Amino acid sequence: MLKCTNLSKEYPGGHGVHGVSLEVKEHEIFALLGPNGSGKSTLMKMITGLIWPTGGEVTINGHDVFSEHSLAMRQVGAVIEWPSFIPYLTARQNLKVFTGLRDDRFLKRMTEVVELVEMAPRLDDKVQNFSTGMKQRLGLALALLPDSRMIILDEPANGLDPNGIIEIRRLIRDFNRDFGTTVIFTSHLLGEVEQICTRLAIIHKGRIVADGNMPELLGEQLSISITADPLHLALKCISDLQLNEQFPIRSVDIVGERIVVNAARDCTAELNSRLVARGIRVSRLVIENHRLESYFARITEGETDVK
Amino acid sequence: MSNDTVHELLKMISQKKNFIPVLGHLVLVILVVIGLNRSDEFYRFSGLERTGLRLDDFLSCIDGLFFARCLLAPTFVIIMPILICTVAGDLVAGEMQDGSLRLYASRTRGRIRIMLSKIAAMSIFSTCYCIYFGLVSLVIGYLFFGCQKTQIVPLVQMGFGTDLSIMSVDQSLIRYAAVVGYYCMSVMVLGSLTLLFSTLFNRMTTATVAGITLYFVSYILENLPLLSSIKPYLLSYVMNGCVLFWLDPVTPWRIAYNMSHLVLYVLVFLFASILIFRSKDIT
Repeated sequence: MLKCTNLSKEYPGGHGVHGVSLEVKEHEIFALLGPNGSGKSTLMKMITGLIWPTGGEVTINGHDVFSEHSLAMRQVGAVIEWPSFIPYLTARQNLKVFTGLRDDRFLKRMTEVVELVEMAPRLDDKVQNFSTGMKQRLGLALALLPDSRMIILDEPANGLDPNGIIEIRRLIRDFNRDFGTTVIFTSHLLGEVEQICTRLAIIHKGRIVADGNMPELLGEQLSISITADPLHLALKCISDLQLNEQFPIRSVDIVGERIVVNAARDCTAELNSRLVARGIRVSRLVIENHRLESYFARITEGETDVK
Repeated sequence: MSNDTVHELLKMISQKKNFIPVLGHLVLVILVVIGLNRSDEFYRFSGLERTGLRLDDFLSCIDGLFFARCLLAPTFVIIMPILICTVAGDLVAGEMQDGSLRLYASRTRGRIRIMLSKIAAMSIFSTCYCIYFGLVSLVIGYLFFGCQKTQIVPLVQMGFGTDLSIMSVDQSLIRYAAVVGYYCMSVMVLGSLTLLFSTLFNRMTTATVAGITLYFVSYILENLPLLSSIKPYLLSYVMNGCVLFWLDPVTPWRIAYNMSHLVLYVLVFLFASILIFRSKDIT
């Protein structure tokens, strides 16, 4: 559905995006992750035809985004960076202005979509009176209009409270499940990404450093967090175990007052018994559900070169 | 008229700032009503004595059309240029600044279509404003000062020596309408120039101030003897070429010459705006 081939945007000082190739298939929920300044927004803007690339091409459904913009974007809805609606217009007027449509078919579809995002009661209110969450929901409605098969959202959970984040997550899932909408989004909330995306790519310093589906990238590894006393003895004990090939430990780190063990499988019981046997008091030993977080941290720190 | 143009117009008329000139015009109306009611002071102030027009004759020629003519210069030389620069500056740079252009341009519409709808909306908006100002001045003038059959147009105020034009009320009305029409076109020159700045700069204030500054600098240059050779090509000179409509007889070729300059300027500025916007990165 979306294909970027060797896409580049060079800015002075070596910033920008360098030779990015990506493919997003129909019905996928694709997440693009990256630290601040890694080129996420630049890539999103090139995908939507807002920024001209210095090299490469982007096609959506076989149409070039730059030379055949109207055809390429026919069934694509995008909200880049922030849903910057016109504050002095109502939600209804904003939807009409940005889609450029006013016919009966559109009005019917608009009613359906605003029902979906639960904005119907506020449709005739001015956008300047909306909360961040409502603006994001209106942004989703705009992205879905008139008949988007693909929506591109840049940081859709930005500025939202926990309930708002859950709500946006639910909506994205619903669109994908109920209408088969392809979703491409960027986010800093790795926990959210982990819960909803089917595929992800990580961009770092303008290059894609990881691209694949979740099990492919994260494998079966998990993080075990251990709080023990004395810490240095516990660390020595676990480091010794790491040398033992039968033990599935891949790496050991100290994070604050904890030891974080990356293991290929669940070995918490064995770890606990070994530590206790050496007279170490283990006060907490849990499997952390932050696999993506640690993977992301490793990738963007350049410790791993996954492609 | 396309949906996009309608929506651009909706954005313009929904902004309160675009209606401040209406208030400005009303203040001018009040000032001119007061001024003309103290006609002897007005007579001396405007240098009409030099034309040989006696005070009594002057008092007898004050009517609604005279009042409307008095309002033409401040309205179309000061208020309208500021308004059009604000509107045009907002069209691209303003939307770029507030981020709405990102939402707009990432839809199916192409860049040229976006620019054409903005240009069309700007033209319609400024033309409506010009007609509104022209009509309101006439109506208020008629209500306060009535109508005289013979119209005396002192040209000294317009920089034409010590002459007076005398014409019928019909003639004067037609010429008044022609002047307002000419101003519709000349306002577009400044609008298209500011639109060009609006595509070049990413801040609305920069584009607006650049447009206004260039316009007023052009006025200063126009009055420098050193630059008399380029005077006919200066923005302000071409924009205010409509004073020729009050001459008797009218000099069509000179008006056509000025209008051709107006059209040329509009086309060049708009073409450049479209070209720049087409290749612009919307960040």
